Amino acid sequence: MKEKHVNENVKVVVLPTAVRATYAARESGKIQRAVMDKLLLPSKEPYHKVHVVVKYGPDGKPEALVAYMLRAHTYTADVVKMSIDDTYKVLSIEMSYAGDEEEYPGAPLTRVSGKPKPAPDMVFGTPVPEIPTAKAGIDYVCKVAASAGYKVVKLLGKDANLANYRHALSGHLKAFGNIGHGYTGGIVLSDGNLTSQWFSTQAKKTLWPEVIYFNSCQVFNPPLQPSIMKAGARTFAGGKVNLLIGSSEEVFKCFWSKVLKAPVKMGVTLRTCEKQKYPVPNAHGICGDLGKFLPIP
Amino acid sequence: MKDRHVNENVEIVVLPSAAGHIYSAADRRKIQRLIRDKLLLTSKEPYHKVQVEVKHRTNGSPESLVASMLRAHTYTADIVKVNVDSDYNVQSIEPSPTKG
Repeated sequence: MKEKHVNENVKVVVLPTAVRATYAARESGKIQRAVMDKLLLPSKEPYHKVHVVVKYGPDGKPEALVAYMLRAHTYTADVVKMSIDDTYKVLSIEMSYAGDEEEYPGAPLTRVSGKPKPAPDMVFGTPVPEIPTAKAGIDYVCKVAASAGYKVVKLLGKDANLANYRHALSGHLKAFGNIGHGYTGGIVLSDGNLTSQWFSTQAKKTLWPEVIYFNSCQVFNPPLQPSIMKAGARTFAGGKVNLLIGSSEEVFKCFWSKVLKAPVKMGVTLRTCEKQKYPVPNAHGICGDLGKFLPIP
Repeated sequence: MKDRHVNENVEIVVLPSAAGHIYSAADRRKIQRLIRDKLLLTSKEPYHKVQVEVKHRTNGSPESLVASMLRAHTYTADIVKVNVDSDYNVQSIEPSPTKG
């Protein structure tokens, strides 16, 4: 029986650019095939996804593909430039390409490969660190998680963006927390909204085994809440109604510090924290696995 | 003395478009003025910040603005869609659609 290559099913996304917003299926197919045959299949490094930007010459014909290859186990993107002819046939390959990063829409936090960073266990972030209680909430939870022995990544302000959140959420973390604004269909990040539409297009185990807590208003409602569970979250907690800035972060801090430090049940803990720290009952919801955080299934 | 409106100094950020559209300073000012005049100054709800995404027609001209209005006292984002003509004049306003 033929063995499957580790990168055989890696998704290759052709990004829109200032020159071209869309590509015909045939052209996308050629670009995807070039990336798969010349970069993914000859590599032993497992990748999560590849974003491709097409560069054009002054005559408007394609002249290069810049591939941002997102590794599967670290926050590293290997950037490779392939020179092509106008039929997308690869002429030469430049590994570790360092130019034109600014042209990559939604680039991840760490782009060019260097010393690989270990994959985090947990990611906590806020796109609104200018709100002191939001930043303090994230700082506090990161500290608690790190002191409990977890590898933690903190995303603040501009780094709390769509690319980083999508990458983190699809990284099979143990926990993910966000403090920021939300609504029934999504949460607001620094460069756009992460919506139920994105979650609903993910495979069913994408978010497994993550305990996800969005300290945001109205997110524990359809369409967002079911889309997160459908994408495989172990547990999801968030605001059922509008959450107050100031006291909601206290519930968030209370929840994480209790579940990460002691063998307490997550469902009961959220209720207890809300009772202790929040002025009104039943403002938060939690679903999925309501048991103890450890052991991770 | 004229009272200052609670939303007079709210920051309005025009987000870069996914399709790579570039907005001139004049376009940005038009978008910001529209959001301020039609949404912020007509509201009694205090806001912290507004992020605006411009949706385009297939010919590249603007079609609508989707404003994520971040409230000042809760973590609520009010999502408002403003349909515009090619010069960013308001055609209609659709409050709080679920961008899902």
